Amino acid sequence: MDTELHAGSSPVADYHVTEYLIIDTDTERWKCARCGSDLGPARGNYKEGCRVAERDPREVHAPRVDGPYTFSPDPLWCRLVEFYCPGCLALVEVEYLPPGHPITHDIEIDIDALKARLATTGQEGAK
Amino acid sequence: MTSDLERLLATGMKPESPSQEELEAVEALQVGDYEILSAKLVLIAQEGKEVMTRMGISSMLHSGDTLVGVYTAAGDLVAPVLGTYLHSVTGQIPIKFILAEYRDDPSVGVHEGDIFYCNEALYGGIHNPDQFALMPVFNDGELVAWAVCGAHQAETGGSDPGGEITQAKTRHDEGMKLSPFKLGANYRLSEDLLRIMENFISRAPRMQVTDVKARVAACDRVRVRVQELARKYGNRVLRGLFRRMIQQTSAGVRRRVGAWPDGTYRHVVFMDTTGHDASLLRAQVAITVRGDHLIIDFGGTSPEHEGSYNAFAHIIAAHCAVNLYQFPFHDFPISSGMLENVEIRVPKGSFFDAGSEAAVSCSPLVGAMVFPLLGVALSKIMYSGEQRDLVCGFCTSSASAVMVSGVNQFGYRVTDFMGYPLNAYGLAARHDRDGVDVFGFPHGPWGKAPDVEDIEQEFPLLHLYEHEQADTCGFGRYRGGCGAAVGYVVYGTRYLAFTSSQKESKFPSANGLFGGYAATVLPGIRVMGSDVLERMRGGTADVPTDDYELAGQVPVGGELILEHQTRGVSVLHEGDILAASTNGGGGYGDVLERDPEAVVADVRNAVISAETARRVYGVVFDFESGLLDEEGTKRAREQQRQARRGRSRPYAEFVAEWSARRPPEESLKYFGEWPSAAPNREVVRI
Repeated sequence: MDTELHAGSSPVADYHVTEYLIIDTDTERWKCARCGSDLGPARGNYKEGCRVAERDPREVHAPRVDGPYTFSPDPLWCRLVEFYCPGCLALVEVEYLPPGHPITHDIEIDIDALKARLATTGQEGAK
Repeated sequence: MTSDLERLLATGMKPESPSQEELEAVEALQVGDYEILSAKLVLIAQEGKEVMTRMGISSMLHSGDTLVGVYTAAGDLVAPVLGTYLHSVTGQIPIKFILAEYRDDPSVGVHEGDIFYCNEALYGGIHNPDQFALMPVFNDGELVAWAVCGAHQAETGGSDPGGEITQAKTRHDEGMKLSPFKLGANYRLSEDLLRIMENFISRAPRMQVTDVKARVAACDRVRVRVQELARKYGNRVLRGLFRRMIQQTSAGVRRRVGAWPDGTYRHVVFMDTTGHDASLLRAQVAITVRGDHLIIDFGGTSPEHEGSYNAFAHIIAAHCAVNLYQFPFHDFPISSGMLENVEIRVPKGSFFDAGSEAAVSCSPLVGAMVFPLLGVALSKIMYSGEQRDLVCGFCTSSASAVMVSGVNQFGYRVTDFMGYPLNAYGLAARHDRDGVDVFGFPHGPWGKAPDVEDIEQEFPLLHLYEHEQADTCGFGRYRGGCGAAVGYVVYGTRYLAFTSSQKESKFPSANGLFGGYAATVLPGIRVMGSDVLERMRGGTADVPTDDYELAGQVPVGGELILEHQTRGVSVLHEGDILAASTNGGGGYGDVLERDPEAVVADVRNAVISAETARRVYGVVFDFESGLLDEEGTKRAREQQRQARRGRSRPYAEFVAEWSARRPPEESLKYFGEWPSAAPNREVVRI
């Protein structure tokens, strides 16, 4: 597996949740899988520990023609919301949302159940 | 709606509780019975499918929107050969309805040699283009099984041709809708009832009658083989075998869900049209894993509306089956046991579960919102475990194609989907590889994209271009698969009508994973009165070779129209051009982590533009030689990282300003209350 764990990663406590997210089950904190930066309490939303930027979709999906239909999302209807690791600035997650739409709390792991499982089955998520 | 039907729509996809006799029959199975006979049942279904495919003529029947399956006497699925996983759950409700309402009704009854038929979504189907034949299988006077055969047919006698009626306002615009009825008895079809259908489908009468017979013949072949099996092994063995097949799937699902981390995982996607009118509609999901129990909750989805893009709850559940069988449970036997421990909650009154008068012939376009919803949310569940290789954002919700109707170059009336674009969407990237370019039909991986020659033989069309289209993939550490550029010129007929139930022209849904970008949107493109045929006759190569050129870069005379992809019926004349291109799949991971050499290769292979390589991926290279500038790329990427720091803010600061924003009012016409999407208006259907 080519996942790049950060230098201080602990194979015992680190539960690998996504490409860029680890839960340290000892400290119950979200961490960046690339640089180990702290991203907040694991019982909360890791996005709250990220730096956040809104982008015009045309910066990523270049329009090919002028007019209302351009091969690019309509910038009045659709915005990109990017979440960066505050340490290494890795792009941890991106959402395509109408302007002002609530941010998605996308991963809400039952930490107590996770710790109980890891205590009996080992560190599956750190494979 | 009868109470039986209401109950069956809510629970009919789950297996019936086993009787004591069935459980004893499971215990009585001998070594090898399950392994040998379960494989035999699949071969029987496969034989049935061969019969249907050889007899039938509609393109969807050939390209794979089909099902042939064996069901228990109670109507639970045990052995299908699919086309699309959608139909792994749709045959059950009609059988259970027939048993509940007609078995003891002396005016109908269920007897050996009966042939039932249906195509009504209100009675457990997906939409009325999907027509099903059903036959009970008897042995020694006992009902031991059912055979079911279904296939999509792109004409229903609706207000517009093509079956998916994008301009429909209610069910009354959508043509023939048949609740389960007896089409024949004593192994004989009723000519009078066939004539009724033929008369209804007058845009394609030959297709209707031929394909009804193909479905019934396939059913009967399955009936014959299952009957032979029952005679050889006995009814009890079949009962035990069927129940064991359901148990195997159910137990496998429980084990797998039990290995997932408990918690709740959410995702949200948006549709940009009601089928009639441009508007944002929200579809969202919260998947909760609790022990070995899985809850898929679509609460917060926008209200139903007067347009054609509505669905019913069981249709949404069927689309969940597509995701579940293609990814986390792909290695289990396909049976009704899959949903036994899965709870699917769909809010009544949402456009995922509209009122019974709603237009739903385009419901697969609505249900397909489930594909990226579950693709992304399930990936966030599976990444941490042994199923990481299956993590995939899946695909767009567009998942459809243009339909054409007219008289072909040989004088025959034709109405059908364009099978190539339907089977040419891009698949999302995975954790260790790029997505698959033009991978197929999102509803079912077995679809077949017809060759150019097949299409040009059947329809009055020339292909202006058909190939992968640059920049349609989602960008990322691993890129999504490309969609296809498809351009048709009307040729060999005076005129041809078309409609389109493709969507995503303003808002994309093929989301990426873990920082990967979505695949972009596509406009509907047509050119009326082009001079392209004159150019071709003159031998010039100066014609558009992809959508970007067609959209204005290479003018071909006439009137260029760029519009939303969802369109009601329009008429094209000879020489007019219609694009029918497809979306790509979402990317995976941070674009700045993509191997720069892979980016240069993407440019060389016309997968992305040089502009995308530079601006999105931060890769510096010499366009002429294709040589990578490694140091320049390092500097450019570092600049992009610092630009991220410059434009970003801490979460709380960002949200304080962001949450005060609101989309334009015209985009919220059918959204519901902002931002809860709660119903805020009365839906009127006449």
